[in-house]
Amino acid sequence: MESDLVLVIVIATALAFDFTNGFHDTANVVATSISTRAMAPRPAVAFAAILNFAGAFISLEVAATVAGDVVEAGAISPTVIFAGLVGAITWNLITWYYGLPSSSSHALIGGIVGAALAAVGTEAVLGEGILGKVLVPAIVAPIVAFVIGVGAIGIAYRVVGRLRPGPVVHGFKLGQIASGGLLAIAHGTNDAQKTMGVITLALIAHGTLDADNFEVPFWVILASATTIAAGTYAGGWRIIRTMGTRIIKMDAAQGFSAQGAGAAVILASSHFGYPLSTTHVISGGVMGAGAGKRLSAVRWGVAGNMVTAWILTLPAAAAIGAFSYGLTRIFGTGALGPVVVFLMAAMLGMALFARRLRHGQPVPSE
Amino acid sequence: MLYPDFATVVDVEALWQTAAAAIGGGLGIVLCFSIAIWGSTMATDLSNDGRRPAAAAAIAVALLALLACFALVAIGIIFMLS
Repeated sequence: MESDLVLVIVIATALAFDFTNGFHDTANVVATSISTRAMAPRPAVAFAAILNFAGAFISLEVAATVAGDVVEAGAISPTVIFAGLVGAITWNLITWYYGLPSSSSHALIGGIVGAALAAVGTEAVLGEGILGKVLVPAIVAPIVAFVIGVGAIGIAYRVVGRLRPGPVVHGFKLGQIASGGLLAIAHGTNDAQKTMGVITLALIAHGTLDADNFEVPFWVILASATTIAAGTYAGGWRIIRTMGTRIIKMDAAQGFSAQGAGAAVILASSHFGYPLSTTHVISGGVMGAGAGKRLSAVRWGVAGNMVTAWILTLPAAAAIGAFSYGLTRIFGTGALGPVVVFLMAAMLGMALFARRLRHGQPVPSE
Repeated sequence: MLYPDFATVVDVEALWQTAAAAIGGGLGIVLCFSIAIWGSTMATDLSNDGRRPAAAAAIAVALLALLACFALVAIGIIFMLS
């Protein structure tokens, strides 16, 4: 009975993470469309939310990686997963508060690894899976997106550079609606699967699913898809501002190139089950589209701050995850620890929201 | 095992395939869409100059490029579903 209660708390927390993931990563999908005025903010966010939902049903490779290649499912308990989720959500909220587009995916993996290390030790951590399926792709993917961004903007300017700007800009703005849609599908595919993977991992740890022969249940897919879409609709306006205007000032061709680069990398990676950071990838594409025009077009200082946030994400989320696990253990090994930490985390989250809203309305009127 | 041997755990072939598919797809879509914009803009300009056959040819190029764009997207989604 107690373990069932913990499982319910883990699922609720995983869906809360999914919401913050959609909320946090809205910027990745819509920032370029909004900054070039290809779409107004509200319709852009609604469009992204719908396609996020649809994208979540496309593939399950990433969910399989998160459930099977990060930590030893048989060696951990649902409480460990809960503590990892608290670490990830807390880091997401901190970076959201400061307007930093860090990676929700790495926060999730960092949080769970940190909690598993604190609870069980190194034997619960699957170093091979983390290195081969998380860390190396995490470095390679933004570089590939950068290269595509540089190449794409070079191609676009070479093909249309001598034409009248009016129809060219109009054409690329139309193209951005399509490439933004593709990026939203890609985001839904890769990111919603991370929550599916975590809930599946919790079901395995709880004993509901067999570790050697599991399938992601349909209700998990539906719940994850709905929650990430709701989070996306709620929107992360502060991060949109950073992504859309502070790295580079984009024209429509650059926006199209950046979105195309991001969508191509995320869709290809989802096929191979790499749980990528969509934030890293689209940032790579944005920087590539800027650098392809001229290197000085990229605000490297802002880009540097983002890289710092990226580097900090895994260890910071791991530390918070480990701390959260320690906190739950103060109240014993039953359900009381997760219940208390869940309530504390919920209150902290609400306080952070209230404080942020008091210090300035982040949602633009249009 | 927390500290694995790098060479044995990273599937370099899968990484190359991912990078190649992404680069090919990403650059291909931008190229095709840029050609579509070029074709439609040229068609308007040529039509305004009264050069109807050339304008028709430019429209054909634009449509073909747009079709290629859709084909690339469809191939990408089918690849992901496979």
